[in-house]
Amino acid sequence: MKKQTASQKSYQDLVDVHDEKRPVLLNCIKAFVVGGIICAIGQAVTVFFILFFPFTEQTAGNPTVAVMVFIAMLLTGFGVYDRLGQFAGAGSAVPVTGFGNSVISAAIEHRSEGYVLGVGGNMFKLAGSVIVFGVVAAFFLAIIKTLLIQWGVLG
Amino acid sequence: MKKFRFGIAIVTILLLSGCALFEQVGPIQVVIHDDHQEMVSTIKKQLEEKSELYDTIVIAAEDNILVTYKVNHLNRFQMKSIEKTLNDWLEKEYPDEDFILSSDYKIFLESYLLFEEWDEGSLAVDEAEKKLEKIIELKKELT
Repeated sequence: MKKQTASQKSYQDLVDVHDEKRPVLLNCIKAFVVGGIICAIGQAVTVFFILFFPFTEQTAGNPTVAVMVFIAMLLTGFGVYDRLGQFAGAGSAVPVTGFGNSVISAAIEHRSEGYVLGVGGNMFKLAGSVIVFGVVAAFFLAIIKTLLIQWGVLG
Repeated sequence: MKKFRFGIAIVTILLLSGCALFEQVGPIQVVIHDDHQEMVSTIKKQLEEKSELYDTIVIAAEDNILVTYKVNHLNRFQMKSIEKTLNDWLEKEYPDEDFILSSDYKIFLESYLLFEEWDEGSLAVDEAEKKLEKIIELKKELT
């Protein structure tokens, strides 16, 4: 935190007195339950892919992620996911469904600016950072794992 | 509310209708090629003694032997080491044979379906071998 001057500090104290206390524990429980339900649905989709399509447990993960993101995109378009996000907070943002939500909500928000500069240019405003850091992290992890296998640390 | 309940019912039915995926179907052996009868029985007995596994299928074809099993839920963290010890044991006992081990539910399900068809007697030997080849191909798929 930045160093505060005396007047800033007194103002902050005033804010603290009048500020409503955040129900942190309740929020955590809500996020946990809703996130768990989303993950349970994801598991059901995985089982569906294993049962009715030629996917193994290992390979069923990719289509499951795609389906979950797609469902979240549809729900965002219908305006359902926003309410869920308001209720559950991080519980709806942390699973992959949050990715679909951030893509579509940005697209809807910038619709009035036209398709190319508005929707196309701003669609990955939020989701772009997910992609960038995901790719960077995957790149470094793959390098580390390859090196460890080369040196015989990992089997 | 009614729609919601309907959705839950559908999801539950979908989950419970998985037959061999969720219930124990008991240790099973399928011998497509007659030479391996004794070996398959030994392997099956060895697998049954392991407390970490609760359901096994051993399928033996002419040159491939597929061993699939389900791991108890609390032992799933040690899945890799279980597979390694099992593989080492098999390699030591039968150095000439080619073993494919899998703890994947999909592989288990497919082997169970193969067993059911084989048990009915509606499957010729070469057809069964072809199906087994397909299962092994599926197991080796990674992406």
